Amino acid sequence: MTATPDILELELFRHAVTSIVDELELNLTRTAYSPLIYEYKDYSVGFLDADFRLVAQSRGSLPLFIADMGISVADAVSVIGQDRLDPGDIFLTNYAPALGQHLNNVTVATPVFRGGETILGYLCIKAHWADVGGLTLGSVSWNARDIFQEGVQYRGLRVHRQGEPVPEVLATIQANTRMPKFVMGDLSAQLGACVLGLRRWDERVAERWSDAQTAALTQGQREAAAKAMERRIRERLTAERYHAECLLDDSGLAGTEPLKLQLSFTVKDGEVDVDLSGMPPQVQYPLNAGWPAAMCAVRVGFKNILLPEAPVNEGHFDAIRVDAPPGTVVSATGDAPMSFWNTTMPTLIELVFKAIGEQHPELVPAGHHASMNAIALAGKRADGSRWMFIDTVHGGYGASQEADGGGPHKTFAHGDTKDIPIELMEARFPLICDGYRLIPDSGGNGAHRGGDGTEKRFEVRADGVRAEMFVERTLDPPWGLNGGEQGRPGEIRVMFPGGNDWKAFTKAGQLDVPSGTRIVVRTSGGGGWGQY
Amino acid sequence: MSLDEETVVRIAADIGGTFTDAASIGPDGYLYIGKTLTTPGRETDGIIAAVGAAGVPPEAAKLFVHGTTMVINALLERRGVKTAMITTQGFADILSLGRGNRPEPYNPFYIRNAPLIPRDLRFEVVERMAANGAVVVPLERADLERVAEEIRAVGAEAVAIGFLNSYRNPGHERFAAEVLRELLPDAFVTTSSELASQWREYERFTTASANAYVGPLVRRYTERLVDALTVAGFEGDALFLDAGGGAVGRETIQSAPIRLIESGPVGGAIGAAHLAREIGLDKVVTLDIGGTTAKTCLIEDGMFETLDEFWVGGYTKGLPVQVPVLDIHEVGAGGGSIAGVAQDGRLTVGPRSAGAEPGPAAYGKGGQQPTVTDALVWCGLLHPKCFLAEIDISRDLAAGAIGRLASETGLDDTRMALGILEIASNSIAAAVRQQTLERGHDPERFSMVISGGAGPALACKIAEQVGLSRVVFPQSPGHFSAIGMLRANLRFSNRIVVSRTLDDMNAEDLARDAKALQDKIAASISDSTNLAGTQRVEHYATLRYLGQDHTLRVPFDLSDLSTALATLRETFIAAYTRRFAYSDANSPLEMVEMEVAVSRDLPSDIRFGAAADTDGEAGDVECLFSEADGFVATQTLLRSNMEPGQTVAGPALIYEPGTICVIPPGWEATKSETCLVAEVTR
Repeated sequence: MTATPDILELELFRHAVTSIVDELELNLTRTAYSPLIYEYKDYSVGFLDADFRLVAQSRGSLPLFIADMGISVADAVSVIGQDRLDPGDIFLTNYAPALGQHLNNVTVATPVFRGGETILGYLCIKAHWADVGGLTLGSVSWNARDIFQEGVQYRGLRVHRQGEPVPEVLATIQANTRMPKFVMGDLSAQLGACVLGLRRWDERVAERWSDAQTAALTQGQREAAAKAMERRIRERLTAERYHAECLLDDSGLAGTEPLKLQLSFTVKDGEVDVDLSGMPPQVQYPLNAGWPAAMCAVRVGFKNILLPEAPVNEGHFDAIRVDAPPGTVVSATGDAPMSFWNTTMPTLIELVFKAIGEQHPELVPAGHHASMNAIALAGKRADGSRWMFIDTVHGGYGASQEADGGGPHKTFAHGDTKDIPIELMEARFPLICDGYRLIPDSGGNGAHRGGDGTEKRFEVRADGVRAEMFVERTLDPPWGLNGGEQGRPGEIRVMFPGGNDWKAFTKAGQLDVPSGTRIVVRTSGGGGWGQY
Repeated sequence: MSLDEETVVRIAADIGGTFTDAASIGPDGYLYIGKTLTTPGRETDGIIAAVGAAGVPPEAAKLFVHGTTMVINALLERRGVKTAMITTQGFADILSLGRGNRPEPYNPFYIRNAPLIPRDLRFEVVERMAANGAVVVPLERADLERVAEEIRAVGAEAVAIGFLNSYRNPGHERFAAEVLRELLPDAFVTTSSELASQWREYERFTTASANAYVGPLVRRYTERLVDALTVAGFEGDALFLDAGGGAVGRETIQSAPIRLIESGPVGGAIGAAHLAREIGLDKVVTLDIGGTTAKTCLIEDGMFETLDEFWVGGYTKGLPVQVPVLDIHEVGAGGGSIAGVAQDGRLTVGPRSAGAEPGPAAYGKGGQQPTVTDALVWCGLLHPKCFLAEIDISRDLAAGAIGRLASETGLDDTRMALGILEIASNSIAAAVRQQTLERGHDPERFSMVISGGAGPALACKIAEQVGLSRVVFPQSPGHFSAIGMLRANLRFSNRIVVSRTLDDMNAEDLARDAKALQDKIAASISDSTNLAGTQRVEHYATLRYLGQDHTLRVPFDLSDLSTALATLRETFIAAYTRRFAYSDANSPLEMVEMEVAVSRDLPSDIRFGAAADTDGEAGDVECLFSEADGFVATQTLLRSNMEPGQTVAGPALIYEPGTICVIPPGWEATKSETCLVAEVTR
């Protein structure tokens, strides 16, 4: 190999590293216990270089986790001390300030050594754990008022040392969750993937390239990625200033003040400067997100429009700077609760689209439902064990210059994420589905119509069940573009047993839903594109 | 092979996208092959022509075995019939709702392919099963009569019936099918539960919709084919290859036509399994490299694995079909794959293919971009004089295309040409690896059986990348699939839903259920031919740790009922540990399904004759294998001139009609009775 890797060597290196993260992903999904991992794909598998920059991410990783593990892993390594990490060590982190998401998202990472001396990078597997303690089963609740009510934080905790499990650490983790079977099963799946990854690294990378070559190749990939994004920025973002805003329904508790989200960016010399200073201050309710999360959402937005086809590499985002003053609802600090950090994320992604679309409507689709439409139902079985059903209901997607809106899908924050089949839900949980359909004409009108929203009807068939639910963006539903009309907003309605009226909810925390309660989730349709 | 037995004259035909291949066993026991261009819309003409080209007269044959891409093509090109669906009230949108996922997570314009049955042809009836199989709302005949009338009015030729929770209790689906068949005697009627038996309503309903959609087509096609064979003088039994790996009669395939999907590659797997047994290899990975894609499959102890998931149109935008299909990994890299620079600056090879038109630059039919074939030509690994007679290969044109891309990317020509082969091999090696390593197998213990037009030229290179040290080149690798079909056995399988933990079931009940299913399958396959040998029965169980979703399918030995369940647990734990490098001895196991396969042997003997001589060049040519060594003198010889036992050290090119086996430096090839085996020497 020459001193500066050429295009062929870069591609062969990319193949080698990608084949590893993709294999680990497969291993993770096949061995995980929680449907949040094997169906919902609430995970990310990646390889970071020695400077914690993402080199490769597995195909099925959640888009919202795009290149976001570097900050967490860097923090964990700084706590441990880089020189004190040994080959075979595996550590955990979900430290809130470095994560910016709910504490369930736990990253398991292991350093990749060559010859036992220098660290070449880190294999990382982030996955949503079913429960990390806190106020409620599942750890995620609208009732949380600070981060400590949302579970336990680990910050560089080593579960393996030099290839050996540390039993007291594993026991401590087990003692801190209400769902030990799921969490320990999923942790095993993450650990197994780390161990396998190290083996694959030796076989596919270390056999072929020296340390110096690997460093040159990761650098070369990063530069090529940066150049590709810069070219697209110059080609597509031909204006100088962009701005978009949107209203959220409330501040995280039904009936509180709506929040106005604003995003601006400027484009100059192939670089983008994103300004989130117009975001509202952080709130006492748990819809805050940390800056690392907001940065990812903005990146997802630009990647969709500028460089969707390229395999993820952090170099793509060298030219996209995201600036947020500390203390906003998307750059929360201190003890801010973040259970539903994802509330703002689909909208934040889409504010990038909206800002671009106002000047280049041919480049982006009209608005999508942008709401998690989450429904989490939990209870106890007769034998005392706990169950929890989580789903996010699909909504309509926006139309574009080329076609009617697609879907229904989950949000732009999701990717290859599947819902829980009705038959599986009915077999595993004391729940019934009374109907699941598209809502006709709920997509916005236009030269191209928005995709329709959906209606899913649930019935609870056990006592002692509690619900966490929400829909968003009902005040400011999916926008039309270029003269297209907006989509019809979504809603959640509940009829309690014995009652005969449907009560509307937008957000509900720990709502008692006795046996016989019926819940209807309706999602919004997508916006239309162009005048009808 | 035994020469004592009386030869059974038989014919196999494999319809592919470009070519229709025929392979026949003549009265002398020797293999004869023929090839014609596929004739879309008139496939039977192509079959008769290919059979004619092979030369064994149909009137002499007792058996005709057929694999075809007809079903998959009808689904991809949406050439099926007008199809209606009947489903549970409240769920008519299931086919449109899908699972909500976007397999292209950063494509803001993503749209999945449309369902096969449009919304206005989906009808709801009042009925409901609970997840435990209890009837919650009974299904009334009057409701079905109403729907049948509506279906008659819209003129649908086929009806798919899909009810919620029918995987647990198919009673309502069966009743509906019975009534519909009575009221609409001309319609093709199918139920979701007879095809797939797992929870996942979207996938199961889609499977039923696909089966109904192609049902009348397959009925007409198989009738047309049998008629054409009869006209040609054939009086034997016609069999069809099920995508799961067995041959079945016309009646079986007409009731479950979706099981014909992707039946072409099955011939290759059967052929490789036979070859592996003949030459004593217990671990084999097959690799078939065509013009556009490469396909790979694993064979252990002479058996191949099946999956019950297939994506019509690919995973990204396609529709799921849950029927047993050969477990094949496919990757978009083959001889025609085009090399270029992607918009994000990466050097890529495939998935775009030059196909037959314009074809690789070297064909001189206007192709300007370099392909894998061009790189092989440039490196001297497809020598112009020894290539297919009908195509004129130009090394200059190949060099021109490679030179242009080289200057665009700043590489020199040598590095460019080798790089194209390297990247293509890398993609293919990743698929091969997925078949071995990712199942917990050590690739070094596997041998590769190579086939397809571009396969023998790249095989050893790919083997090196995966870490395999042995490559088997069968005779006539370009006809490998059709030849394999000559060795298919009668075989059909079906499944029973179990959904219970091993601890609370007993082997006697399972054995009784298995026997009932076995008798049913045996009765259905035995009518198709009287050439079949003794019946064999296999049992499998799909298991998982209670609480998991993904299952593993393992053999289930029911011969000793007192130990059957304990043995099954051990088998599962061993398989699970091998695959996932971890297991849990204490967790309860859940059996999701039990599978029963019944098979009966059909004649399989083949005598390989001396292949016709090729217009090959004897002596040395110059070939490029590595950047460091540059072009090196490479000996060439004709495969038909090699004696059994003869060994040739690489670098060498071994010619046979339509194919060149490339033996790189560091490998040596030995000819045996049935094949050529190359092994790593360094």
